[in-house]
Amino acid sequence: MKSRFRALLWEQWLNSRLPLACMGLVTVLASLVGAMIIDMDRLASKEELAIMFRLLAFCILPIAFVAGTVRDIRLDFPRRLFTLPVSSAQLFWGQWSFKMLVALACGLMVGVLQYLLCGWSESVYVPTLIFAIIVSLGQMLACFSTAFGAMRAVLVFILLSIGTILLLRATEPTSPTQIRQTELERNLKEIQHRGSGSESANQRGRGRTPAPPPLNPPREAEKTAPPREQNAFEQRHAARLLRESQTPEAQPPPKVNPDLWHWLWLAAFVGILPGSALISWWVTARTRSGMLRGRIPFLDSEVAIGRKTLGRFKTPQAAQRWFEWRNTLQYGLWASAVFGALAALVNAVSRERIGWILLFLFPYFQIAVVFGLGYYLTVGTARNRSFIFTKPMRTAALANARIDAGLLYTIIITGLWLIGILLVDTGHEPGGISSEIMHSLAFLCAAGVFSILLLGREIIALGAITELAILVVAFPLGLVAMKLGMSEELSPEAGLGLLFAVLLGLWFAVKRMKLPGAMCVQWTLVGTVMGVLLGLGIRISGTDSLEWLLDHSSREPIVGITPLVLLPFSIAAGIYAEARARRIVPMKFFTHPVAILLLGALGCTFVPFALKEYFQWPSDSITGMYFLGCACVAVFPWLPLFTQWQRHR
Amino acid sequence: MTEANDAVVRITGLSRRYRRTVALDGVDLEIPRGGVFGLVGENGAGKTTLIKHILGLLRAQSGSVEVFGLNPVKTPETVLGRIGYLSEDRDLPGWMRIRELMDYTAAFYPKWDSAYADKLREAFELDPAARIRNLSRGQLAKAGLLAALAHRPEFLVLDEPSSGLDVIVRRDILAAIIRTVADEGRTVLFSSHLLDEVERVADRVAMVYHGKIVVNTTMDDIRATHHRVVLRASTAPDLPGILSCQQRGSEWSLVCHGELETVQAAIHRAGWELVEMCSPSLEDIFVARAGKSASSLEDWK
Repeated sequence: MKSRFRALLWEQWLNSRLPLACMGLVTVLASLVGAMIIDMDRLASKEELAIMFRLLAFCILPIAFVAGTVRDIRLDFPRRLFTLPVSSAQLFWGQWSFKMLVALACGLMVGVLQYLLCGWSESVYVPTLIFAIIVSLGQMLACFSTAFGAMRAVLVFILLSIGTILLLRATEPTSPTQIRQTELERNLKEIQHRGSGSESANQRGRGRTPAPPPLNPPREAEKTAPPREQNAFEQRHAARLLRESQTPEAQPPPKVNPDLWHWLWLAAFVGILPGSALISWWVTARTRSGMLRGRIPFLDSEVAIGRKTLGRFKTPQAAQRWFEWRNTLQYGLWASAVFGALAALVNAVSRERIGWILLFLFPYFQIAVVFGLGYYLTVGTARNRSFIFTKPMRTAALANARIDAGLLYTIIITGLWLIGILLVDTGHEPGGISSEIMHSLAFLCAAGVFSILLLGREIIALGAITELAILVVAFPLGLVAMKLGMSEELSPEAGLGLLFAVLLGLWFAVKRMKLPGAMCVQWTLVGTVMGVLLGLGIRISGTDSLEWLLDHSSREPIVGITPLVLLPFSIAAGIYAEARARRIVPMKFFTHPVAILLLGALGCTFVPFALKEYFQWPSDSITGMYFLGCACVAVFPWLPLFTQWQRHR
Repeated sequence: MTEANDAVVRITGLSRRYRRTVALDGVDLEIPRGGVFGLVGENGAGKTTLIKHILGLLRAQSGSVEVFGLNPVKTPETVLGRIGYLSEDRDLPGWMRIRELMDYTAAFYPKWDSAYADKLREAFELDPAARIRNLSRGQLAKAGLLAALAHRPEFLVLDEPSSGLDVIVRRDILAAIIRTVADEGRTVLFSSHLLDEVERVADRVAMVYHGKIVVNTTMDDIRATHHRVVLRASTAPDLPGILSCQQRGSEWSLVCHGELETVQAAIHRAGWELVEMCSPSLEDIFVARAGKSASSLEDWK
């Protein structure tokens, strides 16, 4: 290296290249998924594709980068750099420059991909700019984490995100009411049109989305098909839209010039740069010399300690509840809060038109959060096992303390979600997503993570990996197959090949990392094959008897069935192998079905949304609450047993 | 038989296997009430596994474990309430502060002595506002020891308490152990591979080797039955009960096991010149015994 500055950049590059590579892969995957989930029959414009893509990029990339650079909870560059014979200014510029380069590269990457897909338009540069802002916010989060500690950093990040949302909403030229009114009118026309003509499964399910005239000519079967009556779901949906469209709402004039609004985005981004620079400098100087620690007393821990000094806990249960909260549950709370803030940000940006896309994306978030949290807690529990379990307390009391703390967590996280919804769209229906879906999201977020905290972390982590593999590979693959015009029988075979490859790779990775549960993944491969074979059997045998399998418009639901069939079989096979390998006590078997139920519920609730539409389930709320409610209730009786197993292995 | 006359720990035929690895192989052990019981052995010998069984963190695959006459797996709340434990891993939660750790731990032990806890904290020079994750290795050990000692446990279990620590911290920890033992009727199980420490404080020692207890006796007995002999001889001396033999020029340094008179008589009969005869250190004995091949394991007993 010719200069120390370049050496510093190189050092950071070495430490960040894996997450950066992951980001690149995720970007490509996101673009593919974004392209595939558009039903070509209803693809209105390239702009819609761009919106979808930017949503994927918004949601996945910052999480991937921030999560990928986590080191020992705190987010900063390696402390080893502070021992190098370079000035603090060089360290600061090295850190800041690298992070800003990454932010700009991320934005550029998104912009280029969108440009290739959609050409140069407002829908390209605006989301690129927004994305750059989000990444920069992520960098600020990293700096804050070092300066203040992780928890306060998350709070600052949430406040910044909410502030940004509110600022942009306040200055947006077109009011949300206006947009909603237009959308409702269009949707109403569409549904009325569909009630007297042909339709597709996607159109049925996405009634809230504006459906332009199809680009492709209608198929012969559709031309000759007789007009179909509206089903109950559609009638309810149409009635609701009618009611909403008749609600008199004022249409306030635009507050500012649209060009100015775009400049505001730019100003927000530009404003973040000095902020991040200032914090980076602070972090560097403080970490190295501790010069600010003594001079700014409110930042030091003394005041905080004086405020938080605890008296004697009155009972061991109270102490244990406090421990559970501080040890694990607060991380879930903060993770969910950040997650919620990002979702709210996306919701605020995307507005009415594409709320269903957010719905589609949510499981990816949820699974990422679940996996990260599960893995983190697995490590944490293993580390503190003897500390926790050598306390003179009955095992049932330990479990009860966790349940109590979990209930508190559930209440808080649900409340947080609701507050977030209100903040995003005060006085109106939340964003572009119906209230029942948002409630369902809130419930799922709360109940899902809550249940995860109650169950075995390693089980959840492995289950989440499996489900993630299934989601990422099988579902988009089926859509690819659809787009390529493959027959229904071919898509699962293609899915089988790739899914098997992914799981095989996963098994090798787990084995190499010496994580517990390698056997589980190994046997999950066998389970996957079983699941696919069963799915094929169902499909082949049901072709003659089930009319919907012949319906061209129901291909997507069919594809959606595959992961559902795969999931329980693959995990069950893994559980069997895990149990055999570990020679575990029988009580562990009782907790696994609960884990299966929980994971299955996650898949059921969100992944094959088209499947739900086929069965015309009334709402996502009922579905989610049914499965997750059952899972939560089922967890409680078994928790003491599972804790017993954890305690006396 | 009353509990007062009973052993604190009674282990019978305890075996533990981690897949293909045998961690404990038919261990029989009794830890008598009162005094310091040293548990020594090389890394991976099975010391920590044995301690985990005593604490109920591992369920016996075969054999039985009784602590205070109770099964620690079936009644953990009763057994653990009388035990203070310092983990080898120092697995205290990093997010806690010292004050929080004291408050939290105090809630579980009715006999928690706050004044004694504060006294220990001051003696260990621990800042109550300090986070555990920011503590040095020595401070971490002291914090763990504070939590283990402040409720004045009947049975103190220390798993490698001074591993990786400097001399000053080790001295503090040993002093704390001695203070604990000074209380009447208290028992300390002191596991370590630092044999000089064990030798300094232990009244009784058990040596673990490849999952088996190969020595279980008092320190006095060990000192009485093991001898370091330095001889001047032309060929390697062949004494009864010889455990190790090292040549330094024309002198031979040996560690022998047996009665002193027997060894002296053998030297006299052979006509070797006796240069020096003394009690070997525990480390010498352990090294000499560990140097024996596994085939001669039975000779140790």
